[in-house]
Amino acid sequence: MTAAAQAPPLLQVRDLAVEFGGDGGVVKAVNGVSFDLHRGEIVALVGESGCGKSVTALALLRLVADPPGRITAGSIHFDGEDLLQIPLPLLRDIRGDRIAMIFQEAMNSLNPVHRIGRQIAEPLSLHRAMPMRDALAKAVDLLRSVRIPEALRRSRDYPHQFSGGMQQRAMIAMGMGCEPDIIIADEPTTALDVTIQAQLLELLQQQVVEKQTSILLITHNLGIVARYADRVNVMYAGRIVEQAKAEDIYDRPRHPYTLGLLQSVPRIDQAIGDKLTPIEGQPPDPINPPPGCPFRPRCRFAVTRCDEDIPPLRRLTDSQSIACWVDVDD
Amino acid sequence: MTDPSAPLIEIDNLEVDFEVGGRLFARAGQTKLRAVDGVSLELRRGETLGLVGESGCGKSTLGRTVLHLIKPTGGQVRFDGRALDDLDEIELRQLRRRMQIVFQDPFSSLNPRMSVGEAVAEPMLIHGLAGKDDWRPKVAELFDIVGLGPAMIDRYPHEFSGGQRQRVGIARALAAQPDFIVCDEAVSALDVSIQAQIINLLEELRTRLNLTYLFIAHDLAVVRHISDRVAVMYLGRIVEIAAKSDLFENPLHPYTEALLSAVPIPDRNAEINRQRILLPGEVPSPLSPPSGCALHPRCPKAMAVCRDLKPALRPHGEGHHVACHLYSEDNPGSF
Repeated sequence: MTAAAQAPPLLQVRDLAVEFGGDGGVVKAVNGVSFDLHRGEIVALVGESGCGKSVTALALLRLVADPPGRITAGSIHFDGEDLLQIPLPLLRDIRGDRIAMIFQEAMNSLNPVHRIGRQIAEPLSLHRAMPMRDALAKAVDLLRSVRIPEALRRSRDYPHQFSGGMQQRAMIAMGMGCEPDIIIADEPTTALDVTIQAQLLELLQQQVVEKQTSILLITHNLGIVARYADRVNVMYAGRIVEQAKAEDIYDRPRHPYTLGLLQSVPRIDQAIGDKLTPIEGQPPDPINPPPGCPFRPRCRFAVTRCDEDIPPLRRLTDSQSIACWVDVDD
Repeated sequence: MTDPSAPLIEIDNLEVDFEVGGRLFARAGQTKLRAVDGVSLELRRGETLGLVGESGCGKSTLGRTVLHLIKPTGGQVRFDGRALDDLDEIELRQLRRRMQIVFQDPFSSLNPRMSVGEAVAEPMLIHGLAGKDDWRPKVAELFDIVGLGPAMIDRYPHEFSGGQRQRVGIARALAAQPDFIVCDEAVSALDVSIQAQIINLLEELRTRLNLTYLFIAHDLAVVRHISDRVAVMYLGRIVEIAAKSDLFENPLHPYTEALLSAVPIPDRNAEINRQRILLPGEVPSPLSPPSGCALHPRCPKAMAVCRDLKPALRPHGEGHHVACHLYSEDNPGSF
């Protein structure tokens, strides 16, 4: 991963902005987001509901529903081309082939009237021009690789015959089918029990080690990030507020929001009896965000400047940046 | 008055069956699904008992059966010394005032056409704790206790965020002046920064109002934080129960061990060196539970006896009970 960091990034997102317009006003769901993804690394986008992490993921493949959504600014460079500028047919060739996506609710992403095997085979026959027979055989191999027992027989099942964990594994098999360069995994295990969650995340990590796949992991779970991610982007109210290597985020969080998040999660290895320290208040109303820093109303460290100026992402070390006028480490 | 050292709730060999396969598909005959399979537990006054387990293990059914929202197929629940199945409708309703529940999704448990103040006042009116004309100051007091401003009384549920709605849900449970509250995944849907607010609120309320909680959740870190004792369920049965420090520091049951090792810790250094016990396969269907110990097909420590014999929940150390053949007396490995 250190070697990969020298090479140009596989995916380079710059100043991405997405708006949703309605009668009630305009919501800037993603507001100037920039990050890199290198080959063979797992990068996390972490944040709470409504912070813009899933919209960012959708925007990468121009899957934001328009209307009401609009990508209003930015660039997404992948392999020398800007995904926001290329014609749609070219983008369609990339979707599901070189960049695959895994969603949280597998049940909603699988077609209920087609057999599982056929659905996994479809991108192979579409993108790889593989004869359907070969594609179906490959689908069985893929199901086996995500440890579906009796893969051949189960490939003829319909989605409702699979449990939640098996459906999600089928989604991962589908995502891995074309051996993509990038897998965008949006809360891939959130609806699942912890023991099943662990099985699936180990599978995804194995994919990174064996095939040098890159994963953009979108999650609200700081524990999963700690275990699997190499680098982390913390999002709040449509912006990245801290960007760092996973070890630095946990050892030395520098943005007040990151610190607040870490202090509010109970930990299974913590001394019993410590009171939790919540972040007081609530995330800002997206239609009427406060002037200045969006975290200002909940921030323990705020200074006068935070009321007026929105802090840009600034570099503290080679690998750690924060969007804050203060540095909680000082 | 009842003896204050007696348990508030005694659950004795509780069984809950659901009949599955409606008439349409009933050709093969009715099938019974045993959701709760012989559970015995006590809740002491003022304690929080955490109940953990994965989806479908029966923890929510158990919680609802304790309140007799679901009638048990077998066994008994005693609240403050009185068996719930001996009571008639009126007596049960009177006793129910003292037992409340807070659900995971407060939005779906609030009437969208009722202001949240009216929703919180409703249990007071039903139980005669307030009248149509004088509920307002009492609701305002409850709003204050749960951290909502008095101006919010006349607002409607859709105007509230998830965390605020959960505060309304808690205020509503408190309105009946209960002794006992079942928290059924009460903080699971909340973002972590808000979740911590609600956890702290629940802890403060317990001390202030001397409440007893049955805290049902799948998040083990949250359960460890809030509970005094913790029970672990698998496929309808309690497999282990102990004081929380005991359970988390010295888990005995292989399922508890696997569950604990699967919980991610939000700390890179702690995570990197952790050994994970991955259980193969998935939780079997309660329609066709495995023979013997329900965990045996997935258990890394399974022995021949596990296939044939259901292990009973037995004491193993002070206040620590486990249902596993590894710790039965005739197994030489256990001593």
